[in-house]
Amino acid sequence: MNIIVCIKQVPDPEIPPARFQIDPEGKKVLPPEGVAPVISVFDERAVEVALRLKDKHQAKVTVITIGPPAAKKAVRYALSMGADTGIHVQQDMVEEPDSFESAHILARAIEKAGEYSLILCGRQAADWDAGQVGSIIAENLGIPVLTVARKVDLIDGKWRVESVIQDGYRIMQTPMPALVTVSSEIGLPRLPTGIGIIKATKAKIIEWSLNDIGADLSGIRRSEILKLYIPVREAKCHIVEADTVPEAAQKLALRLREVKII
Amino acid sequence: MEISREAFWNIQYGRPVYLGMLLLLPICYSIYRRYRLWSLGKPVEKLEKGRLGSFITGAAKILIHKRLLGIGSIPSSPKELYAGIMHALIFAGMLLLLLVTLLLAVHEDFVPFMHGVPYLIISFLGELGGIFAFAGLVMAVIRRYIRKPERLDNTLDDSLTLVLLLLLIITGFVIEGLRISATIPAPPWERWSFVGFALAEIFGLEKVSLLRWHKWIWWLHVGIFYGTVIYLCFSFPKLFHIIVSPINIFFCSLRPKGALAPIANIEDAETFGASDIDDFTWKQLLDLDACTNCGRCQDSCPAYISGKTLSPKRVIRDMKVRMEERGSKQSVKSPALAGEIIKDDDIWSCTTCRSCQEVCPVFVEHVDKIVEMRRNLTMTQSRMPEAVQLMVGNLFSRGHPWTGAQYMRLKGDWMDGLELNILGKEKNIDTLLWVGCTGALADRNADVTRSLVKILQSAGVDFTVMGAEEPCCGDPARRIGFEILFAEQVQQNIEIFHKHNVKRIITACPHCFNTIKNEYRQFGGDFEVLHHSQLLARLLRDGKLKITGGERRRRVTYHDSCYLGRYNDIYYEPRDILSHLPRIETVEMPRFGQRALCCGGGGGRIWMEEPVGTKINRIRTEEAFKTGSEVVVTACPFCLQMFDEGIRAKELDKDLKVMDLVELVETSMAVSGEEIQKRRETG
Repeated sequence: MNIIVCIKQVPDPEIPPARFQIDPEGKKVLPPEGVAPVISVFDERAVEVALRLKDKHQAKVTVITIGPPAAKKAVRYALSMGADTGIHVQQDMVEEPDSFESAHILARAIEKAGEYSLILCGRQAADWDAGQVGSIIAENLGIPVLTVARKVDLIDGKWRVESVIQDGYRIMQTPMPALVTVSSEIGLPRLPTGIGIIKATKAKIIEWSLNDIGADLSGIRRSEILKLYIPVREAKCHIVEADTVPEAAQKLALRLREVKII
Repeated sequence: MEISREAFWNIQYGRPVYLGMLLLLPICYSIYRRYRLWSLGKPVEKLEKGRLGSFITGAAKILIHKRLLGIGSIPSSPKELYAGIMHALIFAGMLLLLLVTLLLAVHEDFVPFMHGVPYLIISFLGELGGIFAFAGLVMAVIRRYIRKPERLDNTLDDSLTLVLLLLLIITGFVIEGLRISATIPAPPWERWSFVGFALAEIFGLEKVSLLRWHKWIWWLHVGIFYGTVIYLCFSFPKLFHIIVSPINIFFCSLRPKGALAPIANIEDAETFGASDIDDFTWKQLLDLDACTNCGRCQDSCPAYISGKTLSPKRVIRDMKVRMEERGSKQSVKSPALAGEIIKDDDIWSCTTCRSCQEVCPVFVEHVDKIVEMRRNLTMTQSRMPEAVQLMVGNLFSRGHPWTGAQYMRLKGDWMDGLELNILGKEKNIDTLLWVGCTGALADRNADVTRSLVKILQSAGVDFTVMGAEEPCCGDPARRIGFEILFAEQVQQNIEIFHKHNVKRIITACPHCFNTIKNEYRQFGGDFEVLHHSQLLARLLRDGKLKITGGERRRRVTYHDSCYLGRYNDIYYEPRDILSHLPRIETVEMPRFGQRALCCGGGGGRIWMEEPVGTKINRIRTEEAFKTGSEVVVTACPFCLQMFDEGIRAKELDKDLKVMDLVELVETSMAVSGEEIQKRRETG
């Protein structure tokens, strides 16, 4: 059984909001200086799901990423977690691909990678939060898609997936092959083991160009950024003054009612 | 009549006693049996460079009872002195008695020399030996059965050992007394054997009738001695430490105290660290046999003191039991040592403060064993507390160990408003100020970094910083057992240092300091590393810092950081700095210097929860508070954080605050930021 995981390297979401910078003219996010990009949190969990399935059912796990040469670091990290093969599709475009372009490239790469029983993606990338790539890949490949999984099981040759919905989850089942997007409810991803790190250091990552996988992007892009800006948020601080605690509580409650919070 | 005596005298057939020498064979066999157990461990070089010297210093340490009497330790501890004197008396006494007996044998059967004064001196020495040993043994009985310190467990072996030795000494004195009694005419010179003579006076002088008694008790005495030796051979009791502990001291680690051993050929390894006995080195197993269960380690262990289940003594003892088990039945595989016999919680409770090792009289090395087991848990089994997992994840993705709102800043943010040379841009400066992750990321610690920068600048020290590009030094990864991450990080760092021709590194963090100074060498990085306390002490001595008056008279207490003190013997410099500051009165906490209690933050503990027992930092905060000081002075970013939390949790913030040494120096300095600016403008 082959499982393919699509991962993306994103700017570290833990950088302080004040340090987040964009170029409104070029409609681009400026990578923060001195902070290394990280593997997107949901994608890391997608790798974890693949590895849990591998532990249980014996599978070969392949991770694929698109991006500049530095993105290989994310692949290597997934390999050190326990993935078997890493593929890096070099992205030589000036503009960052939109969801349709990314999905197109990934679908072509997946086809080139060969047979698969399951494709896993994060529910969304932690940078643009579009949450579309997974579904578009499935459409591209003509396979079923189940989104926002909190659990993925293989039961009687079918994928049984618990999808997070408001107030709970629903259980769905789909035949192989299928695409599942993974949510953080799946639990903490594992850390690389010592042996994993050594293997990953020695492993050779497969490098493909867009030509290699036969990706032709003309006419694929369907979205355009009209304006990129950081919303301005204002916060006002009102200190409730009182001599005693009960009095303060009372005043606070009145104030909250005044502004219609309670 | 000549002043001398015959050795056997009343004992006609005494010479077969020499046959007892044959008992050396079972002793050797016994050592061999233990050696086979040690050989379960991995071989490491036994006679590396400097080993010969360590034999000599080891012997000296044993002779002067360095650890037991606390010679050279700061502070000496009266509490420990009782046990130290007790052991020294028994040790010196037995050694003297053995020597005297040996000389007597030489005199009798080889070179007769004990006539006149030499005889008197040797008799007197023997007498002293007996008195010393007796006094020591009585002290031991009082300690073990009347005072009963918690750290001692009383086994049958302990009682048997004391009884046998006491009987040996008592019968020795009695036969001496009987011999003097039964000698006719009474030899007046035997007054030099003062105890024997006193006993003889009690028995009555010139009493031939006592000859029979003398004979019987003589044989009893010999019987007890050989009985003790036979006991020694066949049950490997505590007394065997006479043989094994010196061997252990001779083979003690020659690495700097602060350096853990690297994993050799890590890239070819399949498993990491120690999951069971055979994963340790033979020396680490020798440690287990050298241990005498004295319990000093347990008494000084912050984890044990604060109510955790970890006891360094128990770790060693449990490992020893496991070693014997593995030695007798090779097939015993489960349960594993790491995680089952020694519980995960215990392995993670260690703060690596090294106080157990600092007090161990036989130089058992506990910390590296704990770290070996951590290596197995983290790298092979991938099993660690969630907090550690988070921290390792951060090291992987962000290159520093911190998470959380407080640390939502970038590594170079602390530099705002300071004029600094960045490494790589300034070619002619070979001194690097290594800030460390905590000093760069945590708000409170960044204040310390900025103080240090201002002081260095005002003293005219040229240095560069790495700013936003500064990675982790590797210490957190190594202490929690993630050696691969450590090795990778260190190699990268050394490459950067070499590339930019860094020769000297100054740091405010004792953990960075220890790793860069003592452990980078294992990877080919040899730099002059200075902790800020060393540098500031030097600058003060040279008059490079202008100290005026402090704001007002203040009482302060200094908390020794483990990685500065016990790891690197830096006790003096911080105190020297404090003594240079006007209007500062320094008082010590009851536990200071080598005996200082850890703040609870070392060994990766600062990133972990502490749900069991009392929090270590609260205990230490209480100790600082009780000195009546208004400031507890630290020289370590972790200690600073631990005290900060302790003070707030105990609601002592009105009376006590925590400051780094450099902050205190800065408040006493004449030069303000503006003046530095002015000075720079005028060139």
